[in-house]
Amino acid sequence: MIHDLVVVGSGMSGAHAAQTLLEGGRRVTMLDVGFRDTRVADLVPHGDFLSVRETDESQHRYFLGDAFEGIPWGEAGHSLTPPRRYIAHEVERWIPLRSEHFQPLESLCYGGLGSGWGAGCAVYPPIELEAMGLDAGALGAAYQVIARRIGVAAQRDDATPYCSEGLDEVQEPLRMDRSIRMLYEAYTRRRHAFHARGVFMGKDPMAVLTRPLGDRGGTRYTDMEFWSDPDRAVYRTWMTLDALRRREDFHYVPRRLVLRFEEMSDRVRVLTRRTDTLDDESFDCRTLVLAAGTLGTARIVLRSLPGPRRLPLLTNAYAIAACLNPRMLGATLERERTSLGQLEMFVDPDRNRLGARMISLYTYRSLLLFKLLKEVPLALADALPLMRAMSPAIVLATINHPDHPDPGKYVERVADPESPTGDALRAVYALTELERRRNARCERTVLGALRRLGCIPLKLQHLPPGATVHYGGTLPFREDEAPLSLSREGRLAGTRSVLVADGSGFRYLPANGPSFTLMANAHLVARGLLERGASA
Amino acid sequence: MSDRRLDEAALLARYLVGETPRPQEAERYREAVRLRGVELARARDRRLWDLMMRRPAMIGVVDAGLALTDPHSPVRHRIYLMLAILEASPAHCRHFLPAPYPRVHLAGVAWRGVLAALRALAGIALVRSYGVLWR
Repeated sequence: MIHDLVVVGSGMSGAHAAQTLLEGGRRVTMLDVGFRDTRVADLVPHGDFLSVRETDESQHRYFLGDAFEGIPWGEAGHSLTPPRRYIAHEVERWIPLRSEHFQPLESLCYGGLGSGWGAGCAVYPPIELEAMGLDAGALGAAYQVIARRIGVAAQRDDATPYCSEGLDEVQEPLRMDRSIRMLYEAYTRRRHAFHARGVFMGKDPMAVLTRPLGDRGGTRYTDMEFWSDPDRAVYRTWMTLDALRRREDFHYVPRRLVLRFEEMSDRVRVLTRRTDTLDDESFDCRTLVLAAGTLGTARIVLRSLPGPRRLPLLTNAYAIAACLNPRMLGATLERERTSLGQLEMFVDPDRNRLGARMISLYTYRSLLLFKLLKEVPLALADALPLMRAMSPAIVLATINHPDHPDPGKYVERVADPESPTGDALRAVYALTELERRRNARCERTVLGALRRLGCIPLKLQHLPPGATVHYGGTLPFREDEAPLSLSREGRLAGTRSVLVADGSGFRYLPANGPSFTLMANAHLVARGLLERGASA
Repeated sequence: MSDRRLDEAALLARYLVGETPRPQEAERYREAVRLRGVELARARDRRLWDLMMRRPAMIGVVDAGLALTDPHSPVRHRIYLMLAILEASPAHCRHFLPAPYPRVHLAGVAWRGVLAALRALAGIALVRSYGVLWR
């Protein structure tokens, strides 16, 4: 049997490429490992965070986990809450990555990393899209398509040129809580002084419903977004997959890890290994769309094509500044609020929207206090009353830097006899001295801006590379058919019928999260395929 | 072993929030130490732990000293497990949830900070002396 189209991976790129192809009348087979485990999430009761804390006797099962895996110890990095731990299930086993410094988060789960994302939906400015190798005009329309599908809350403000220009058909923005509102008011009072320093503030669009859309409800501000998906107000990729699986022209094949492909004269053969029986199995198709994520697609391509063994790698350098908003001391946060990013700051050193740093501001409550207490250099019993008194005043600023390719940032395939696939990905990632200096300068600007907003920075912590969970650039877009590159339409150089619909082609990684652009780009890759099919 | 862990849980809970844990929280602590494999492999850690269990008033001093000199010590890890268990319990969560307070209470908070710093100094001296004596 020859399948019309095979899509590899069920993350944001795979799901939205598949949806576009299906809407264009094509039949789609999706190969995916597709781990899913909602047992812990199903324990989370309805209700707001404070009510749950005060009443639910089983809260330890989802806040801490049955194996206490939700109690972090050691150095900070990305961490998943127990209800979302399945996102990284068996990643170490099936897709090992070796690195001394680079600490990525990958997923083999149903819906991929989109099952636990922070819901930021940045529309990149045209200058950044061009730097990434994307068609800014086409992306603009694609963003609208995705916004209609997933539901986006946004507003027009000073941040609009950096993250939401041209986005219409949006819902009302998420409410800010009291602490963040104070900061925004401080910004608006001295807006021109901030602008003179290249600092602009406003709200990133968010894939969160503030009123119902289809069968999803608007957020009720329960502050439980890190633990469950109340009312399905926050978009998760599995929602798209569940809808696609109700269609007869969509065939979802789980428990298949795609190893490599072989292109023949009339078909592409996709070789997979079953994750349950370990049997090998192949699927033939006319067209293959790889959307296994930047690192997953790199593994498949490196196994499939001859040529250089090293691929460039992009990720965002990342730091967290813990700050104190003293005006909130003695106050409390509202019962109805959200723990998602509430306000963004853009630091644009060159005032041209290229290379701007993106800072998200969060208040701290629903991740529980003990995670903060670990970072305080005091006895835990002393730190507890101090941090409890300070917690409504704590503001966390996550600072994201953009990334450019460099010879010191790459991945390569290495032999690994212990891996069930016989290989592993090895990552080397080091910022250049110039990048370090620029990032440090921008971080000083950020800390200065926070002080002007009335926040006192207490601690700046740099997280290991990979912690943003944003990756790209392994198969950069090029016009010259160079080996291991993509055409602008997403076709893999050296192949006729293999397309890549994830972030592998991005030649540059802006500071703001790429999720919305991943979905929009996947839509464009799929639409291009439909148009070329129609013209043929 | 089991009863010892339950006794430890009671001592740690009283140190952290001034309350005795319910049986289910003490049992959870025992499970957490077992599942997380928090062993006191170094002689210094074992000595410090024994001191804390014999003299509960020293728990805070040891904890404060380790917070600055060895924050990832298994001794501190065990205290931290109990802290997380207490926070994720409706019986004790009120010690962790913020409550409004008048600004004048900030003076009390600041005073507690001063006492915490003094305890940290005493803790550093204690932990360092244990490190030298039982290296």
